[in-house]
Amino acid sequence: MLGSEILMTAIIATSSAQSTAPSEDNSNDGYIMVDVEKLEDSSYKAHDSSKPGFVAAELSRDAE
Amino acid sequence: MLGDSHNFGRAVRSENSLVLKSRTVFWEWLLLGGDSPLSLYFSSLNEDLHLPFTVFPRLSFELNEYPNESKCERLKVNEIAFDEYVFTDVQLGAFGSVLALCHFFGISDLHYENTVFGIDEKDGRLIFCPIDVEVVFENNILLSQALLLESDSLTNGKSGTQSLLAGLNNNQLTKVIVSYLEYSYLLGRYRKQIINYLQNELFIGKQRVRVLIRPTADYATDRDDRKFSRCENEQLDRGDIPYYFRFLESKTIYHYTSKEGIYKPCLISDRDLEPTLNHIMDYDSLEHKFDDSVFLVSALQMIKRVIDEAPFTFELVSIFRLDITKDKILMNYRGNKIGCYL
Repeated sequence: MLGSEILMTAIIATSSAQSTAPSEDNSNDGYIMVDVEKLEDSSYKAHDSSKPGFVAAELSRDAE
Repeated sequence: MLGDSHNFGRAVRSENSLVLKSRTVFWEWLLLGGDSPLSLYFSSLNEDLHLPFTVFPRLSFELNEYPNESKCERLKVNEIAFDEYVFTDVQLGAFGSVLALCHFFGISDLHYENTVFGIDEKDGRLIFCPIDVEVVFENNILLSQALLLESDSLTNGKSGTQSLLAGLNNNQLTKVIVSYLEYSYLLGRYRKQIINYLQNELFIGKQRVRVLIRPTADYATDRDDRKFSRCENEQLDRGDIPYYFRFLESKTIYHYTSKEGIYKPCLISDRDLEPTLNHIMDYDSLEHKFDDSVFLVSALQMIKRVIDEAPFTFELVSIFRLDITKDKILMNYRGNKIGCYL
């Protein structure tokens, strides 16, 4: 499912970035760390405004 | 006219205390109608499921078959003075439940002009609701995709929660988020019954749902005929913003070919429609769509976007704990541990 794929990508992205991320405490005690920005970006691109299918991100119209 | 022209010059318009819409108002009636059967059904399942309806208006509707106009009582609200109004925990909880309900139903296009927050002029009740509900059952992962929350691609106060969330302090915001999670959890428990009710009692499969195949803004700026399909260009040529719809029981996308409401499948290629088809839910997948991880991640996005204090800690014994430090957010909801770096 598209959502799960995007979610997994965001989790993997954070895992690889973790070693270089500045952090005072690297032990996250079992927390799954998610790259929210990557997820926003991936979710956005999955429905990119340059392709059909993206629900309006830039709102320059009057609401219906 | 209150909005864009569609389908041979039709548009939403107002007449005295009514809003007249040349499309189904079934979805709005289901949520906002004074005689909403969904409100009653939710109460019968579990009293707590009724929570969002406590901040929904109770409007009158007249549902007519397209191409006849349907009618809706106009909702009028007064602004809330945040420094004078004291929100109860139940009201904050209701706000979170509205967000969860919108997410559950995949309601989209909920930018700042399509949501209402304020005091109902009619009965003095606190209101927070979507008002333009025609794009539903979309497969949104994050609230920002429904335009309910800001993201890097949606800024400048254009999200549907801007007028509400900007006025709350961090403790209040956290209560809204906890309620969002709790209500999502509750919907998850009852989803089979709810979907069965919608399919077999309300026959939602026969209802029309608008499908947006590209942002309306694309049509309004720098029109390039080569970028659009033939049927989009035909609609643009007659002065309409292209309009597509489907019946919820299928993914076939239609457009109207006459003012009298005759419709045909749209002839846009499958390749061009693929992103759209990936983003809408087919009838059979409704039950399987609501993955708990979606709500956890969505709550995490809300925390990251709206709580602007570090260090910040909030705990609701045995259910929820939030720790924000200068470099990360850690959230534990019912043993589900999730976080992000800042």
